[in-house]
Amino acid sequence: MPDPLFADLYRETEHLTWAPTEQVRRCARQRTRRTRIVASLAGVVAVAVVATGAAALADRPDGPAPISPVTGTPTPSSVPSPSPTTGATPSDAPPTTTGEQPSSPTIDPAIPAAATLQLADLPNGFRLTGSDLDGDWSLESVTIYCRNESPSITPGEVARRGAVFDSPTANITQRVTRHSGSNAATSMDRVRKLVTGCVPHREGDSLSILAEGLGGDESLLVGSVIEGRQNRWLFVRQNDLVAQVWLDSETTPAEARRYTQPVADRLCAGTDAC
Amino acid sequence: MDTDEGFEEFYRTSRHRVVTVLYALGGDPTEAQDAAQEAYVRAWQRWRRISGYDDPEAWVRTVGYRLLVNRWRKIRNGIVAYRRHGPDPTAGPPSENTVALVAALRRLPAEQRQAIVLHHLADLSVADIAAQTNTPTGTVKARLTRGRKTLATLLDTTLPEEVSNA
Repeated sequence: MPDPLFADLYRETEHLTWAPTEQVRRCARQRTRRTRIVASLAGVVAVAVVATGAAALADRPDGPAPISPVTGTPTPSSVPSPSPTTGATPSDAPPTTTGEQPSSPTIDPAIPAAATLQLADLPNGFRLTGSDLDGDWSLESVTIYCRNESPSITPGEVARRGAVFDSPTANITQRVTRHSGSNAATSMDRVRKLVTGCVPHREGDSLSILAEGLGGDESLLVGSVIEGRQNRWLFVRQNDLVAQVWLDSETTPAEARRYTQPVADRLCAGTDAC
Repeated sequence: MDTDEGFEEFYRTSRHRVVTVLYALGGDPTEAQDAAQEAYVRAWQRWRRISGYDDPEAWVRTVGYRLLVNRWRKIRNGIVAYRRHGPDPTAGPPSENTVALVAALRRLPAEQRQAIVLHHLADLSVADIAAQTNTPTGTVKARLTRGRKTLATLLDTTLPEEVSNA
Protein backbone atom coordinates (compact mmCIF):
# COMPACT_ATOMS: atom_id res chain seq x y z
CA MET A 1 0.00 0.00 0.00
CA PRO A 2 1.24 3.51 -0.70
CA ASP A 3 2.23 5.94 1.98
CA PRO A 4 -0.87 7.76 3.38
CA LEU A 5 0.28 10.96 1.75
CA PHE A 6 -0.37 9.32 -1.63
CA ALA A 7 -3.65 7.68 -0.65
CA ASP A 8 -5.91 10.26 -2.32
CA LEU A 9 -3.96 10.15 -5.53
CA TYR A 10 -4.10 6.36 -5.52
CA ARG A 11 -7.86 6.41 -4.99
CA GLU A 12 -8.44 8.86 -7.79
CA THR A 13 -6.84 6.60 -10.36
CA GLU A 14 -8.81 3.60 -9.22
CA HIS A 15 -11.74 3.89 -11.60
CA LEU A 16 -10.11 4.87 -14.85
CA THR A 17 -11.50 3.29 -17.98
CA TRP A 18 -8.95 1.06 -19.63
CA ALA A 19 -8.85 -0.42 -23.09
CA PRO A 20 -9.89 -4.08 -23.01
CA THR A 21 -7.04 -6.56 -23.21
CA GLU A 22 -8.14 -7.63 -26.67
CA GLN A 23 -7.76 -4.09 -27.89
CA VAL A 24 -4.22 -3.92 -26.51
CA ARG A 25 -3.46 -7.16 -28.31
CA ARG A 26 -4.92 -5.94 -31.60
CA CYS A 27 -3.00 -2.70 -31.43
CA ALA A 28 0.25 -4.50 -30.66
CA ARG A 29 -0.28 -7.08 -33.39
CA GLN A 30 -1.07 -4.45 -35.95
CA ARG A 31 1.97 -2.39 -35.03
CA THR A 32 4.21 -5.43 -35.25
CA ARG A 33 2.79 -6.25 -38.65
CA ARG A 34 3.46 -2.74 -39.93
CA THR A 35 6.99 -2.84 -38.56
CA ARG A 36 7.65 -6.09 -40.36
CA ILE A 37 6.30 -4.79 -43.64
CA VAL A 38 8.51 -1.70 -43.49
CA ALA A 39 11.53 -3.76 -42.47
CA SER A 40 11.03 -6.32 -45.24
CA LEU A 41 10.50 -3.66 -47.89
CA ALA A 42 13.60 -1.81 -46.75
CA GLY A 43 15.46 -5.09 -47.12
CA VAL A 44 14.10 -5.61 -50.61
CA VAL A 45 15.26 -2.15 -51.65
CA ALA A 46 18.70 -2.65 -50.13
CA VAL A 47 19.11 -6.00 -51.89
CA ALA A 48 17.87 -4.53 -55.17
CA VAL A 49 20.32 -1.66 -54.98
CA VAL A 50 23.21 -3.95 -54.15
CA ALA A 51 22.21 -6.21 -57.03
CA THR A 52 21.96 -3.25 -59.40
CA GLY A 53 25.37 -2.01 -58.34
CA ALA A 54 26.91 -5.45 -58.72
CA ALA A 55 25.40 -5.88 -62.19
CA ALA A 56 26.71 -2.51 -63.28
CA LEU A 57 30.17 -3.36 -62.06
CA ALA A 58 30.04 -6.72 -63.80
CA ASP A 59 29.50 -4.86 -67.07
CA ARG A 60 32.61 -2.80 -66.40
CA PRO A 61 35.49 -5.17 -65.74
CA ASP A 62 37.91 -2.29 -65.58
CA GLY A 63 35.66 -0.14 -63.48
CA PRO A 64 36.62 1.39 -60.18
CA ALA A 65 36.45 -0.46 -56.92
CA PRO A 66 32.89 -0.84 -55.69
CA ILE A 67 31.52 1.80 -53.41
CA SER A 68 28.96 1.03 -50.76
CA PRO A 69 25.55 1.56 -52.29
CA VAL A 70 23.59 4.55 -51.16
CA THR A 71 20.15 3.42 -50.28
CA GLY A 72 19.14 6.68 -48.82
CA THR A 73 18.07 6.97 -45.26
CA PRO A 74 14.36 6.39 -45.02
CA THR A 75 14.03 8.55 -41.97
CA PRO A 76 12.87 8.23 -39.40
CA SER A 77 11.82 4.67 -38.90
CA SER A 78 8.38 4.07 -37.54
CA VAL A 79 9.64 1.16 -35.54
CA PRO A 80 8.71 1.73 -31.93
CA SER A 81 11.74 2.29 -29.77
CA PRO A 82 11.52 -0.48 -27.27
CA SER A 83 13.04 0.24 -23.95
CA PRO A 84 14.53 -0.93 -21.80
CA THR A 85 14.76 -4.14 -23.79
CA THR A 86 14.66 -4.80 -27.50
CA GLY A 87 14.12 -7.68 -29.84
CA ALA A 88 10.43 -8.29 -29.74
CA THR A 89 9.28 -11.50 -31.29
CA PRO A 90 5.53 -11.48 -31.12
CA SER A 91 3.92 -14.46 -32.60
CA ASP A 92 1.36 -13.04 -34.98
CA ALA A 93 1.06 -14.28 -38.51
CA PRO A 94 3.45 -12.89 -41.09
CA PRO A 95 2.11 -9.99 -43.11
CA THR A 96 0.62 -10.47 -46.51
CA THR A 97 1.45 -8.07 -49.30
CA THR A 98 -0.59 -9.61 -52.04
CA GLY A 99 -1.57 -7.27 -54.81
CA GLU A 100 1.34 -4.95 -54.34
CA GLN A 101 3.73 -4.23 -57.11
CA PRO A 102 7.25 -5.32 -56.34
CA SER A 103 9.54 -2.52 -55.31
CA SER A 104 11.68 -1.41 -58.18
CA PRO A 105 15.28 -0.56 -57.39
CA THR A 106 15.69 3.06 -56.44
CA ILE A 107 19.11 4.54 -56.09
CA ASP A 108 18.22 7.26 -53.63
CA PRO A 109 14.66 7.05 -52.38
CA ALA A 110 15.29 9.28 -49.37
CA ILE A 111 12.72 12.00 -48.87
CA PRO A 112 14.18 15.45 -48.28
CA ALA A 113 13.06 17.52 -45.31
CA ALA A 114 11.89 20.16 -47.78
CA ALA A 115 9.16 17.77 -48.93
CA THR A 116 7.33 18.05 -45.61
CA LEU A 117 5.29 20.96 -44.29
CA GLN A 118 7.31 23.93 -43.08
CA LEU A 119 6.52 26.33 -40.26
CA ALA A 120 5.63 28.99 -42.80
CA ASP A 121 2.73 26.80 -43.94
CA LEU A 122 1.14 26.64 -40.51
CA PRO A 123 -0.72 29.09 -38.32
CA ASN A 124 1.28 31.13 -35.84
CA GLY A 125 2.28 29.41 -32.65
CA PHE A 126 3.45 26.10 -34.09
CA ARG A 127 6.99 24.88 -33.77
CA LEU A 128 8.72 21.87 -35.26
CA THR A 129 9.19 19.41 -32.43
CA GLY A 130 10.63 16.42 -34.22
CA SER A 131 10.31 13.78 -36.86
CA ASP A 132 9.37 10.80 -34.71
CA LEU A 133 6.42 9.00 -36.25
CA ASP A 134 6.08 6.51 -33.46
CA GLY A 135 2.70 6.29 -31.83
CA ASP A 136 -0.93 5.76 -32.56
CA TRP A 137 -1.69 8.91 -34.45
CA SER A 138 -2.15 7.47 -37.93
CA LEU A 139 -5.22 6.27 -39.79
CA GLU A 140 -3.83 2.75 -39.62
CA SER A 141 -3.91 2.86 -35.85
CA VAL A 142 -7.69 3.19 -35.72
CA THR A 143 -8.22 0.10 -37.85
CA ILE A 144 -8.08 -1.90 -34.64
CA TYR A 145 -11.63 -0.66 -34.21
CA CYS A 146 -12.68 -2.37 -37.45
CA ARG A 147 -13.88 -5.96 -37.40
CA ASN A 148 -12.41 -6.76 -40.76
CA GLU A 149 -8.80 -7.01 -41.85
CA SER A 150 -7.66 -3.67 -43.27
CA PRO A 151 -5.36 -3.44 -46.28
CA SER A 152 -1.88 -1.98 -45.90
CA ILE A 153 -1.94 1.61 -47.10
CA THR A 154 1.80 1.74 -47.72
CA PRO A 155 2.26 -0.73 -50.58
CA GLY A 156 5.69 -0.65 -52.18
CA GLU A 157 6.98 1.82 -49.61
CA VAL A 158 10.65 2.58 -50.11
CA ALA A 159 11.19 5.56 -47.82
CA ARG A 160 9.45 7.67 -45.26
CA ARG A 161 9.98 10.90 -43.38
CA GLY A 162 8.11 12.50 -40.54
CA ALA A 163 7.49 15.98 -39.25
CA VAL A 164 5.76 16.82 -35.99
CA PHE A 165 4.55 20.29 -35.16
CA ASP A 166 3.18 21.39 -31.82
CA SER A 167 1.47 24.51 -30.66
CA PRO A 168 0.23 25.15 -27.13
CA THR A 169 -3.17 23.81 -28.11
CA ALA A 170 -2.73 21.63 -31.16
CA ASN A 171 -0.53 19.17 -32.95
CA ILE A 172 0.04 18.35 -36.60
CA THR A 173 1.85 15.18 -37.54
CA GLN A 174 2.87 14.44 -41.11
CA ARG A 175 4.24 11.29 -42.66
CA VAL A 176 5.51 11.29 -46.21
CA THR A 177 6.09 7.96 -47.90
CA ARG A 178 7.66 7.20 -51.25
CA HIS A 179 6.27 4.28 -53.20
CA SER A 180 7.71 2.20 -56.01
CA GLY A 181 6.11 2.09 -59.45
CA SER A 182 2.46 3.08 -59.33
CA ASN A 183 2.07 2.04 -55.70
CA ALA A 184 1.48 5.61 -54.56
CA ALA A 185 -1.80 5.62 -56.48
CA THR A 186 -2.52 2.15 -55.11
CA SER A 187 -1.91 3.55 -51.65
CA MET A 188 -4.63 6.15 -52.12
CA ASP A 189 -6.99 3.46 -53.43
CA ARG A 190 -6.21 1.42 -50.33
CA VAL A 191 -7.04 4.37 -48.10
CA ARG A 192 -10.45 4.59 -49.75
CA LYS A 193 -10.89 0.84 -49.40
CA LEU A 194 -9.82 0.89 -45.77
CA VAL A 195 -12.24 3.66 -44.93
CA THR A 196 -15.25 2.41 -46.85
CA GLY A 197 -14.65 -1.22 -45.93
CA CYS A 198 -14.28 -0.74 -42.20
CA VAL A 199 -16.96 -2.52 -40.21
CA PRO A 200 -16.66 -1.04 -36.73
CA HIS A 201 -16.73 -3.25 -33.67
CA ARG A 202 -18.77 -0.71 -31.79
CA GLU A 203 -22.06 0.78 -32.75
CA GLY A 204 -21.62 4.50 -33.32
CA ASP A 205 -17.98 4.27 -34.42
CA SER A 206 -17.29 5.18 -38.02
CA LEU A 207 -14.70 5.97 -40.65
CA SER A 208 -15.66 8.16 -43.57
CA ILE A 209 -14.27 10.10 -46.49
CA LEU A 210 -15.23 13.72 -45.90
CA ALA A 211 -13.79 15.26 -49.06
CA GLU A 212 -11.81 14.42 -52.18
CA GLY A 213 -10.00 16.37 -54.88
CA LEU A 214 -8.68 19.07 -52.60
CA GLY A 215 -5.37 19.39 -54.46
CA GLY A 216 -2.24 17.56 -55.60
CA ASP A 217 -2.56 14.58 -57.94
CA GLU A 218 -5.07 13.09 -55.49
CA SER A 219 -6.25 14.00 -52.04
CA LEU A 220 -8.67 12.77 -49.39
CA LEU A 221 -9.89 14.04 -46.08
CA VAL A 222 -10.73 11.14 -43.80
CA GLY A 223 -12.68 11.43 -40.59
CA SER A 224 -13.26 8.99 -37.78
CA VAL A 225 -15.51 8.84 -34.77
CA ILE A 226 -14.20 6.33 -32.28
CA GLU A 227 -15.79 6.03 -28.88
CA GLY A 228 -17.31 9.45 -29.40
CA ARG A 229 -14.03 11.12 -30.32
CA GLN A 230 -13.23 12.54 -33.73
CA ASN A 231 -10.03 12.51 -35.73
CA ARG A 232 -9.07 13.86 -39.13
CA TRP A 233 -6.41 12.83 -41.61
CA LEU A 234 -5.52 14.51 -44.85
CA PHE A 235 -3.97 12.36 -47.57
CA VAL A 236 -2.25 14.03 -50.51
CA ARG A 237 -0.47 12.28 -53.37
CA GLN A 238 2.01 13.93 -55.63
CA ASN A 239 3.50 11.48 -58.15
CA ASP A 240 5.22 8.73 -56.12
CA LEU A 241 4.88 10.50 -52.77
CA VAL A 242 1.96 10.24 -50.38
CA ALA A 243 1.52 12.50 -47.37
CA GLN A 244 -0.66 11.56 -44.45
CA VAL A 245 -1.29 14.55 -42.18
CA TRP A 246 -3.00 14.22 -38.82
CA LEU A 247 -4.97 17.39 -38.34
CA ASP A 248 -7.16 18.93 -35.72
CA SER A 249 -10.15 16.76 -34.94
CA GLU A 250 -12.63 19.43 -36.03
CA THR A 251 -11.00 20.15 -39.40
CA THR A 252 -13.60 20.87 -42.08
CA PRO A 253 -13.14 20.18 -45.80
CA ALA A 254 -12.64 23.92 -46.38
CA GLU A 255 -9.89 24.04 -43.79
CA ALA A 256 -8.35 20.87 -45.17
CA ARG A 257 -8.23 22.46 -48.61
CA ARG A 258 -6.08 25.25 -47.19
CA TYR A 259 -3.59 22.68 -45.92
CA THR A 260 -3.66 20.62 -49.09
CA GLN A 261 -1.97 23.23 -51.27
CA PRO A 262 1.16 23.65 -49.14
CA VAL A 263 1.35 19.90 -48.55
CA ALA A 264 1.20 19.25 -52.30
CA ASP A 265 3.64 22.05 -53.11
CA ARG A 266 6.16 20.81 -50.55
CA LEU A 267 5.90 17.26 -51.86
CA CYS A 268 7.21 18.60 -55.17
CA ALA A 269 10.58 19.09 -53.46
CA GLY A 270 10.82 15.32 -53.24
CA THR A 271 9.64 14.27 -56.66
CA ASP A 272 10.53 15.24 -60.22
CA ALA A 273 7.03 15.13 -61.59
CA CYS A 274 5.76 18.57 -60.54
CA MET B 1 -0.92 -18.16 -32.30
CA ASP B 2 -0.47 -15.81 -29.40
CA THR B 3 1.75 -16.69 -26.51
CA ASP B 4 0.58 -14.09 -24.06
CA GLU B 5 -0.29 -16.37 -21.21
CA GLY B 6 -0.57 -14.31 -18.07
CA PHE B 7 -0.67 -10.99 -19.88
CA GLU B 8 -4.34 -10.35 -19.27
CA GLU B 9 -4.02 -10.83 -15.54
CA PHE B 10 -0.84 -8.80 -15.43
CA TYR B 11 -2.51 -5.97 -17.32
CA ARG B 12 -5.57 -6.08 -15.10
CA THR B 13 -3.77 -6.26 -11.79
CA SER B 14 -0.82 -3.93 -12.36
CA ARG B 15 -2.24 -1.03 -14.36
CA HIS B 16 -3.67 0.88 -11.41
CA ARG B 17 -0.31 0.95 -9.66
CA VAL B 18 1.51 1.83 -12.86
CA VAL B 19 -0.76 4.71 -13.82
CA THR B 20 -0.69 6.14 -10.29
CA VAL B 21 3.08 6.19 -10.29
CA LEU B 22 3.13 7.83 -13.71
CA TYR B 23 0.56 10.38 -12.60
CA ALA B 24 2.68 11.24 -9.56
CA LEU B 25 5.80 11.48 -11.70
CA GLY B 26 4.31 13.49 -14.53
CA GLY B 27 1.49 15.37 -12.86
CA ASP B 28 -1.05 14.81 -15.62
CA PRO B 29 -3.51 11.92 -15.27
CA THR B 30 -4.38 11.83 -18.97
CA GLU B 31 -0.78 11.72 -20.10
CA ALA B 32 -0.10 9.13 -17.43
CA GLN B 33 -2.83 6.86 -18.71
CA ASP B 34 -1.78 7.34 -22.32
CA ALA B 35 1.79 6.46 -21.44
CA ALA B 36 0.74 3.48 -19.35
CA GLN B 37 -1.53 2.19 -22.08
CA GLU B 38 1.23 2.53 -24.65
CA ALA B 39 3.68 0.78 -22.34
CA TYR B 40 1.30 -2.18 -22.09
CA VAL B 41 1.05 -2.39 -25.87
CA ARG B 42 4.83 -2.56 -26.02
CA ALA B 43 4.85 -5.09 -23.20
CA TRP B 44 2.47 -7.33 -25.14
CA GLN B 45 4.78 -7.18 -28.16
CA ARG B 46 7.63 -8.48 -25.98
CA TRP B 47 5.58 -10.55 -23.57
CA ARG B 48 7.43 -13.81 -24.06
CA ARG B 49 10.56 -12.14 -22.77
CA ILE B 50 9.08 -9.76 -20.25
CA SER B 51 6.89 -12.38 -18.61
CA GLY B 52 10.08 -14.13 -17.59
CA TYR B 53 11.37 -11.13 -15.70
CA ASP B 54 11.25 -11.05 -11.92
CA ASP B 55 9.23 -7.86 -12.04
CA PRO B 56 7.47 -7.23 -15.37
CA GLU B 57 5.69 -4.29 -13.79
CA ALA B 58 9.02 -2.51 -13.36
CA TRP B 59 9.53 -2.82 -17.11
CA VAL B 60 6.16 -1.28 -17.89
CA ARG B 61 6.69 1.46 -15.32
CA THR B 62 10.11 2.28 -16.75
CA VAL B 63 8.86 2.38 -20.33
CA GLY B 64 5.89 4.50 -19.28
CA TYR B 65 8.15 6.90 -17.43
CA ARG B 66 10.46 7.27 -20.42
CA LEU B 67 7.48 8.01 -22.60
CA LEU B 68 6.46 10.74 -20.19
CA VAL B 69 9.95 12.15 -19.91
CA ASN B 70 10.29 12.31 -23.66
CA ARG B 71 6.94 14.07 -23.83
CA TRP B 72 5.84 11.44 -26.22
CA ARG B 73 2.79 13.06 -27.68
CA LYS B 74 1.47 10.67 -30.23
CA ILE B 75 -0.28 8.08 -28.13
CA ARG B 76 -3.61 9.35 -29.13
CA ASN B 77 -5.79 7.41 -31.44
CA GLY B 78 -5.25 3.72 -31.27
CA ILE B 79 -5.98 3.00 -27.67
CA VAL B 80 -7.07 6.28 -26.18
CA ALA B 81 -7.68 9.59 -27.83
CA TYR B 82 -7.84 12.00 -24.96
CA ARG B 83 -5.28 14.51 -26.11
CA ARG B 84 -7.62 16.82 -27.94
CA HIS B 85 -10.71 16.05 -26.04
CA GLY B 86 -9.74 16.41 -22.42
CA PRO B 87 -9.98 13.71 -19.82
CA ASP B 88 -12.82 11.27 -19.42
CA PRO B 89 -15.88 13.42 -18.71
CA THR B 90 -17.05 10.93 -16.09
CA ALA B 91 -13.90 11.48 -14.03
CA GLY B 92 -14.33 13.96 -11.23
CA PRO B 93 -11.85 16.69 -10.43
CA PRO B 94 -8.85 15.75 -8.31
CA SER B 95 -9.06 16.37 -4.59
CA GLU B 96 -7.31 19.32 -2.94
CA ASN B 97 -4.79 16.94 -1.42
CA THR B 98 -3.95 15.47 -4.79
CA VAL B 99 -3.61 18.86 -6.42
CA ALA B 100 -1.28 20.02 -3.66
CA LEU B 101 0.75 16.83 -3.73
CA VAL B 102 1.14 16.84 -7.51
CA ALA B 103 2.13 20.50 -7.46
CA ALA B 104 4.69 19.87 -4.75
CA LEU B 105 6.11 16.85 -6.56
CA ARG B 106 6.53 18.91 -9.70
CA ARG B 107 8.70 21.33 -7.79
CA LEU B 108 11.16 18.58 -6.92
CA PRO B 109 14.08 17.84 -9.22
CA ALA B 110 13.15 14.87 -11.44
CA GLU B 111 15.55 12.46 -9.73
CA GLN B 112 14.25 13.29 -6.26
CA ARG B 113 10.66 13.04 -7.46
CA GLN B 114 11.35 9.64 -8.97
CA ALA B 115 12.98 8.37 -5.78
CA ILE B 116 10.16 9.67 -3.61
CA VAL B 117 7.41 8.25 -5.80
CA LEU B 118 9.03 4.86 -6.23
CA HIS B 119 9.70 4.58 -2.51
CA HIS B 120 6.58 6.05 -0.95
CA LEU B 121 4.02 5.22 -3.62
CA ALA B 122 5.32 2.15 -5.44
CA ASP B 123 6.70 0.83 -2.16
CA LEU B 124 10.09 -0.06 -3.59
CA SER B 125 13.08 -0.48 -1.34
CA VAL B 126 16.15 1.72 -1.71
CA ALA B 127 17.98 -1.24 -3.20
CA ASP B 128 15.21 -1.82 -5.77
CA ILE B 129 15.15 1.84 -6.75
CA ALA B 130 18.92 1.78 -7.10
CA ALA B 131 18.73 -1.26 -9.35
CA GLN B 132 15.84 0.02 -11.46
CA THR B 133 17.27 3.50 -11.96
CA ASN B 134 20.86 2.34 -12.28
CA THR B 135 21.89 4.62 -9.43
CA PRO B 136 24.10 3.92 -6.40
CA THR B 137 22.12 3.25 -3.22
CA GLY B 138 23.84 6.14 -1.45
CA THR B 139 22.61 8.51 -4.14
CA VAL B 140 19.07 7.15 -3.86
CA LYS B 141 19.15 7.68 -0.08
CA ALA B 142 20.40 11.22 -0.51
CA ARG B 143 17.66 11.97 -3.05
CA LEU B 144 15.05 10.57 -0.71
CA THR B 145 16.30 12.66 2.19
CA ARG B 146 16.36 15.87 0.16
CA GLY B 147 13.05 15.13 -1.48
CA ARG B 148 11.34 14.41 1.84
CA LYS B 149 12.69 17.61 3.31
CA THR B 150 11.43 19.72 0.42
CA LEU B 151 8.03 18.00 0.35
CA ALA B 152 7.64 18.43 4.08
CA THR B 153 8.17 22.15 3.69
CA LEU B 154 5.90 22.49 0.69
CA LEU B 155 3.06 20.41 2.14
CA ASP B 156 3.55 21.26 5.77
CA THR B 157 3.65 17.59 6.62
CA THR B 158 6.16 14.84 7.19
CA LEU B 159 7.01 11.71 5.30
CA PRO B 160 8.27 8.68 7.23
CA GLU B 161 11.99 8.12 6.97
CA GLU B 162 11.47 4.46 6.23
CA VAL B 163 8.58 2.47 4.89
CA SER B 164 7.85 -1.20 5.20
CA ASN B 165 10.40 -2.68 2.85
CA ALA B 166 13.00 0.08 2.72
